[in-house]
Amino acid sequence: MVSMSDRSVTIEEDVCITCGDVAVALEVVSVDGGDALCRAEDGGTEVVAVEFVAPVVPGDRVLVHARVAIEKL
Amino acid sequence: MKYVDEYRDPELARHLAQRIAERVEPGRHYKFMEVCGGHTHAIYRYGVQDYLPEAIELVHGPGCPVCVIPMGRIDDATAIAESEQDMILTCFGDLMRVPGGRGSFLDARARGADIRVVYSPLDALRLAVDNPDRHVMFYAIGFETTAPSTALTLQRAKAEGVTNFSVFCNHVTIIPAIKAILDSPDLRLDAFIGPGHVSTVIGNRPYEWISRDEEMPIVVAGFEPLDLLESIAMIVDQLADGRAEVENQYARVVRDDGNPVALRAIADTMTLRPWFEWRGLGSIKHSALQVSERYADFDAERRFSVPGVRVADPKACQCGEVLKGVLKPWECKVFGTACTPETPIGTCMVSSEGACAAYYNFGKAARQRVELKVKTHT
Repeated sequence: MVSMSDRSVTIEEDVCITCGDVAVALEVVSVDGGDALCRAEDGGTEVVAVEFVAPVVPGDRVLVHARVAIEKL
Repeated sequence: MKYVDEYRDPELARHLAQRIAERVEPGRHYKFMEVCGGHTHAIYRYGVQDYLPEAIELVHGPGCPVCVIPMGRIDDATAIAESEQDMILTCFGDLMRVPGGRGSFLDARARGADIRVVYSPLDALRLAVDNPDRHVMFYAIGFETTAPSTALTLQRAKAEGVTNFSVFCNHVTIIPAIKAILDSPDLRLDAFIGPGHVSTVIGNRPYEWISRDEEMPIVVAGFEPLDLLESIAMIVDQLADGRAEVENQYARVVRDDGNPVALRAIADTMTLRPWFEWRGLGSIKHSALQVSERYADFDAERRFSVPGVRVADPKACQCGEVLKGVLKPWECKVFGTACTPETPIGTCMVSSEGACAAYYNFGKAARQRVELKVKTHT
């Protein structure tokens, strides 16, 4: 899985971002304009661009690929 | 873990396996192609094939963008990175080891080029903002799942007035690749397992011609083992019923119309290339994207001199046949010997979702075929 912190993301598993089908479901914690702080199930957080799934509110779950949300779940 | 555990239940997997086995027509051999690298990875990782009757063969398609990138496009970006002063080339991590004619990005970095791994094109843009005296070029690659992140980055770069950022665009599109596969005389397929997250962006409608014109089922699938087994069950049901439809097994994520906002962003920032070369499939019309005129200032191919290198694949490499589904990974002459994930000759061995790497990592170990307590037709 992908582990996340506020400023960086490291890929610990043998996943390939560019194959496009690596996407992770995250929960929106807070929204700031076009970005949202999102949290993974393991508690790690990441800033994600949410323009493509706006509007989102805290508690929404979004599918994220390369730090961009592509669908609201 | 929610949304994961319920899709990995072994008992449910056996039920689905039984449903599939009961609907398989006696004496018929089925070939289903998954066109998505994520599916290839999941199939090997979870041993999905082991739950299927031997009559069903899963064929791995060209759904890994790293695998289909021609070597010359690696050399082109390397040439820019090495010739432009103050250049920082950024790319996704899995691209670093893809071999070009003059070696990989890792090799170029060892020669002195400043090449850095980013997780998102947005990170590349941030790097440009943080380094105003350098130029940051992002090597964009991927299908329609990844194109929105590049599109959004271009829009933000323009809105923020960033002048030291550009995109070397290699985004490809899935539909022309499927058409090329269907036009290939080497392969006869019965159905497609449709890509899950690509379809999150483009929706289900672009596949309608497959069921209408080719009279072939396609089921858009998720990435957990039960997603794949259920998709295969839905395909087998369609074939048994004499139907050819677009069905959506991944409805918890994929909408019929995809994500229209993301599609508009792609249309704003990128246009179709007349032609693009795919490794193994040759040049395919309207199969890739380039930066649009509106964003010309951010187009690396307009800003810098691109050699347009064309490199023939190594003779020993049979990636082309693997990408078309004609050869299985282990049937390639150099698989697992000269070509391994540590020293890849072909691109299919580089990306973890390339068919060869996926098979090398997960399929090699002998697995005991799951004993299915099902009655199969004899």
